[in-house]
Amino acid sequence: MKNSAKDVIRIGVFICDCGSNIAGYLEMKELVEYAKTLPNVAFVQENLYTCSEGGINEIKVAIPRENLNRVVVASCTPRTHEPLFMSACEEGGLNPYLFEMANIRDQCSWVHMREREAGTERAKVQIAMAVAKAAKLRELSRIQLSLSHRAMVIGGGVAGMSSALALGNMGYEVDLVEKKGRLGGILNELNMILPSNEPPENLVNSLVSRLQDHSKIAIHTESVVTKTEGYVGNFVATFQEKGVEQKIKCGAVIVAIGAQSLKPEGLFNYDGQKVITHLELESQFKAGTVNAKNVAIIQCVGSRCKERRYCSRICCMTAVKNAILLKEASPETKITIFYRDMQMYGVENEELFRKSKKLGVRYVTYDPERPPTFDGDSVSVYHLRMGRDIVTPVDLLVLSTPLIAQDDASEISTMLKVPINENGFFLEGHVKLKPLDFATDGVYLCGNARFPSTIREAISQGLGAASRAAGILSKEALFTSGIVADINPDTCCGCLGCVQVCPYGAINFIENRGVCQVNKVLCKGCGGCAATCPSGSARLDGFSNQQLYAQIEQAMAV
Amino acid sequence: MIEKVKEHVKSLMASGKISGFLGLKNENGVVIPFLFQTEEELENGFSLGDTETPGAARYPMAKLALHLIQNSTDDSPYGILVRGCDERALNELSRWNQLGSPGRLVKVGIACQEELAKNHECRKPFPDEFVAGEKVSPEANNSVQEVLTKDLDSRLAYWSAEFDRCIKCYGCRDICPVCFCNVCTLEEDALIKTGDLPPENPMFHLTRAIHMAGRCIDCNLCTEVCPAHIPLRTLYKRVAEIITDEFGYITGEPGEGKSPLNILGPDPGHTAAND
Amino acid sequence: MSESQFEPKIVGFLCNWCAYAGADLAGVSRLQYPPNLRTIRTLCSATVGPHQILKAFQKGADGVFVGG
Repeated sequence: MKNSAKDVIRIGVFICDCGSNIAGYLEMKELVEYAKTLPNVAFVQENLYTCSEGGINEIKVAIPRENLNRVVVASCTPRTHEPLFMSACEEGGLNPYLFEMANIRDQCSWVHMREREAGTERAKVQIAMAVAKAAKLRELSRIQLSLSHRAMVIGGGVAGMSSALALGNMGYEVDLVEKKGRLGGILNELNMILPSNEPPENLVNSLVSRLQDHSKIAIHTESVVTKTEGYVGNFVATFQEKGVEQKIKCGAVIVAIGAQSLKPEGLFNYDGQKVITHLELESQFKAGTVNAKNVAIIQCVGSRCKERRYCSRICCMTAVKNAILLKEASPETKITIFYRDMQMYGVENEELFRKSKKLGVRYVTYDPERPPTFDGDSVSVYHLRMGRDIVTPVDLLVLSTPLIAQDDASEISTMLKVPINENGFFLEGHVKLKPLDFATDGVYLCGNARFPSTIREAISQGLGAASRAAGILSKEALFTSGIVADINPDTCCGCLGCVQVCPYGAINFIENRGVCQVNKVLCKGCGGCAATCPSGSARLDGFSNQQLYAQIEQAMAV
Repeated sequence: MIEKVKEHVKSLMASGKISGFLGLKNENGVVIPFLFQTEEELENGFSLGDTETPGAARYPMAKLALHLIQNSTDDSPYGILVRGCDERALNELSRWNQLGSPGRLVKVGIACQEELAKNHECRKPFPDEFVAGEKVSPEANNSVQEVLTKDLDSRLAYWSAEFDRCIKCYGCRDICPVCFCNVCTLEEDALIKTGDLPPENPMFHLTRAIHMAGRCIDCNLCTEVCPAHIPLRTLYKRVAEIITDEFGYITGEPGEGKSPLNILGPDPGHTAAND
Repeated sequence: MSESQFEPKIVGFLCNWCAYAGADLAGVSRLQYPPNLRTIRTLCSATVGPHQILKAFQKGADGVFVGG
């Protein structure tokens, strides 16, 4: 019986020279000839650059001309180029999931540069493995989802306000949820902002009035988010607004819950009177009650230590700012800053640092092994250069304490299923590539919730998070990946093994049918369910057992 | 003992607590599993499986109950004759969500006679839900330790020789009270080539062993039923032990908790000492 | 075959997001290693179960690497 055209697997293999990156180290002719001998391979083509316009075009043209129903590209790495080649397949009229890549550059020619023969052998095996897997590929489809174009911003500090305002100005409805009675966050407690040299009220009032006047923005003060459900594009958040329960639908969530200043209980006889934090100093400034003649400031109190290894980043600038303000208010005040190292990055901050020195602020470095001590009247510290202790009389001691995570950070982390680090700050998806995204789609972060930041940084992160969220909100519809798990209801025994191992909560047990089912929107394709399923009823299309077995067999065949 | 069990079952039937009793029946000298539905049926050939020796005729009662539940059209409760091993199997199946609502099965437990317990070196020859018989002490099975004294090469040679006798009858799987899948990995052609005899060695037997990790309740039915006399119990007992060592999980105990292989993340039972 | 000629075959299951990226980075950094590895990309090391590992050994792998 003759197979119908659809049943015959015809694989096209495109082998990339990558200029000399691959061709310089492997025997390309040999690879081409070898690929021709592999089962189901109908067409083999060598390209100088498969990813160039010409190379992409050759894939597009070859699919209908050669009647190909699978495509394999042997080139760089799927981590960078798979999307490009998949769309080439799609444009050539082939389901994009009928595509497979063999990594013969990053994981072959570049790591076996001095072993031409053995490297070529490995490339052959990797190509054979890709071809074997390609033969087992099935057409997959992406699921289309509608979405809410509304956003929720949790936290009404400067980062959250900036984020909400930016989204509102882009034309999206925004719910700004603040747990306190008024917007502004930690800015409300500050005295003055440097280097712009203006009171923080100006910034807060300007943001608040623009937010209040905005038709797209709803401000919810005294509101605490208690529950979030759903997924990117379709979250449902429940919050208590002044004791009344509210429910909103939103497509994206921005976490901007800020941070709090560490109260240095038990350190340097901290009492809030003679020994205070910078925040307390700033409120004394506002009240006009500062009249100390000998001021000492100690840096890194409660940070860069065993309990908190991190540097809080902003305390140096805060100390310099407050030293300048003290000096300007009364030039005869003696100020000494005890520090480990000063972080004053950027020209403007460096200028402030110099200015403070010109004004007569004294800087004394200390060794963390021999930190300063305070006896109630004076600070003693071992002076590294003089090689002996020096004693500085003090009638006001200011401690530069770090920002620490909010008390409800871990609660919010659990609620939104997004991670926090060991210090309770929210953990971005990738430090460089996804600094304002979480690994979970549709949830973003900015400001001090992420890590201590200056006001400018908080604003720019707020704007950045808004722009990331807008990337989702601006879409007409969302598409999920085709690589998602599926559970065969005819063979599933309902043992619930998969439900427990799914890290995304994507599997539900359908009680009345006694079987488990995958929510394909939540599924990220990790395959944990497929690996744990005793009966093989759960399968991850695109990385199914059959496909992996085919690869393993080829890996060992040569 | 048998009279006491019979009376107990009759009273369960009379009070309507069970709509049938899954037990054993002596039919013309052959003991078979049977679903007793009337007192008359009970009077006619009810057996505890004591033939040539005590308990010589054993069946995977838990597995039969599983099929009974899956194929019944209503929620009516059944009585079931259980020994210590059957109860462990029921406990394990319950953790895997296989037995439906609790109370679906009413256990009628019997203790195993000393000879039976000795024959099978049983770790707990009586069920917790106990109706008749006399409890005898557990017997140790040291087959795992014996194999572990061999060095790796001779261990591999030992098992390869054992597995090479396999005639792939699937008896070990079919008799196993805690094997419950509708489709079996052992029959997946892409994993283990079907049609080969002996089956791919050691793939076939190790695949089954993997499925016994955190599951085998050490009933010895597999070894008893194997026509090639492969000491399968030793293999499965070993993998179950690994899970016990790593996660502190003991198969067949009553409770709700999941098998550790079905839990994501660190298990509280997994102490630093085991790391 | 003498000991010195033994060339192990190693199957590596690499998580797309870490180990596979690491293997790519080895290439980008031009770190050289012996060509005895054959890599299989998975979206997560959770995809890899005991069956895949058994299969690799059954087919003659001398070592299996799961990176995730």
